[in-house]
Amino acid sequence: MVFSSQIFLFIFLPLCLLGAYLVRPDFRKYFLILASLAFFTWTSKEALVIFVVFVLINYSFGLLLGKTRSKDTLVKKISIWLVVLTNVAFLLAFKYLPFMTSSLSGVTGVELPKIDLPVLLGVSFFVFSAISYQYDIYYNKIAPQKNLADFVLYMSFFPKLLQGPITRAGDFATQLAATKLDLDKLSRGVYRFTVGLAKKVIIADQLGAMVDLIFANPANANGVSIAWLGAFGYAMQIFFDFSGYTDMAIGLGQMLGFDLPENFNFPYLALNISDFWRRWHITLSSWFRDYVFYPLEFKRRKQKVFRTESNTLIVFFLTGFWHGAGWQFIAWGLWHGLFSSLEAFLRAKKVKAKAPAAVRYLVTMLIVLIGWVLFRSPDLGYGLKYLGVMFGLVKPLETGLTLGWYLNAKVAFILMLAVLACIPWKQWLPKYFEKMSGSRLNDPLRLIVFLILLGFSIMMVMSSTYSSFIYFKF
Amino acid sequence: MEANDIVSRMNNVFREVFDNPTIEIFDEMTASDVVGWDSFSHINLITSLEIEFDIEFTQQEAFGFKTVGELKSAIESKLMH
Repeated sequence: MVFSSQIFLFIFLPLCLLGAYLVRPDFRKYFLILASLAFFTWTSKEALVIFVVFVLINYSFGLLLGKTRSKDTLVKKISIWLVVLTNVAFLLAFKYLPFMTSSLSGVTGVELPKIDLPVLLGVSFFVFSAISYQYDIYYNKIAPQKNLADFVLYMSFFPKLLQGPITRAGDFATQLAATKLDLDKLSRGVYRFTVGLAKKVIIADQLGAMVDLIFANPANANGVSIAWLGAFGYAMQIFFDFSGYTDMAIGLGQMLGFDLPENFNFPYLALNISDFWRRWHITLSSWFRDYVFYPLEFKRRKQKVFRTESNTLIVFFLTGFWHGAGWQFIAWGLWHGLFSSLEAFLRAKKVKAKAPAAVRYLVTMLIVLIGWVLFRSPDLGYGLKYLGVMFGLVKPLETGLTLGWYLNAKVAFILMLAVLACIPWKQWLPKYFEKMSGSRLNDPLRLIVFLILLGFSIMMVMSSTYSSFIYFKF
Repeated sequence: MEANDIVSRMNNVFREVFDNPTIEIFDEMTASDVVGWDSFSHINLITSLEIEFDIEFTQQEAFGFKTVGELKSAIESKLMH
């Protein structure tokens, strides 16, 4: 079920809120588990069975890891390896099997049988939640969750189930213990949710329609300016799609008494690639930092040369691969990894950037934009050719289509709106926003903004056909 | 080796790693008490302590320390064996 669909907005959400506020507080978590499983079942009943088995296995794994604490190092090591490998195998099976068999067939020339497993939406997200839970037990950061209901809710809580933000078990357990529903939180949640909905249906979906048209053409059938428009449009679409989703998730969390972690911090203000990754999909990059990068740094701590640089590349390769089974995602990851590891190298050499901030900004955004073209492309070949057109290396075909065909007044207006919404006005002009700092709907100005956004968004939801979120497929 | 000796050698390592000659470590000290003690410098700290005391930490130990006291006990027990 998609947060911006009519069924979610007009049926599931009102029923869920009503239930959460009406049931006895000690029954609330059971109600939320039921709601979350119902939400997940919407994708398929088969998927629900697999998900529940997955959750139960990880529940037992957690208890097992807790029991090995008093055992010697070797037992602990073998246990964590078994637990993590099982989770990784699960992810590989449900997400990468077709990619792996076709790549293997390509290399060996042997036709391998196709195995069709059911699609599990959000598999990358909930497997990562499970792995972080197990590692946190292993590192003694948390105790295993003995309460089955609490663990099931951590894994299945519907606001974050399909697309994050990836939540840590320790944080979630603390909140669950202290969860309290109040009107203040509800009003903040409703506002945040509406902002997210507006980002999704007013900006992302409208730009998406244009971007889809451009990327449906053969890579060399777009003129130079159209290719740049497509790239820029996609950069905006993916940000507003994913951050809109996250706002909705965080808003839903607040309505139900939880504070989910933030995922974005104005990524299009980054002055270098490492900075970009501290601002973009923060819960994923911190997951890779804590569970892959630092352990790798530790493991190779005696190696002095090229250690951090190569570990950075490994992490970005995995980040790319996590996004999808395709070479374009791996290329996108390595593209970011290349610059990130170059920055790590320069940092280690204590080289300070001398270029003015404006230049560093433009270079960073250009790198990000090139990355997005690869990311959006159906395959790597397409992406490279498309980039070739953008930079004048591939001569585009004469199609007679002009920029105006795609960039009409409506799209231009939405692009302008998108650019304005990438700016942290509250931080830059604090005195104008002082009065609104309460972030509650009883503030008249906020209420007006809220009603306008809500009105437009509902209009869009009612008039549009079904549109999924980009990150659902990851 | 005396416990005081361990503490003073640890203190020197802390001062060097965090580039701060005024650091005075204590048992309840955590990462939030020391400017610059993040996950990245934590690995430098662990590596420097390993060299100083000629010991080795496992990954689980290295990422599991919450206080300087825990770190000190781990060093002491490794030096005894």
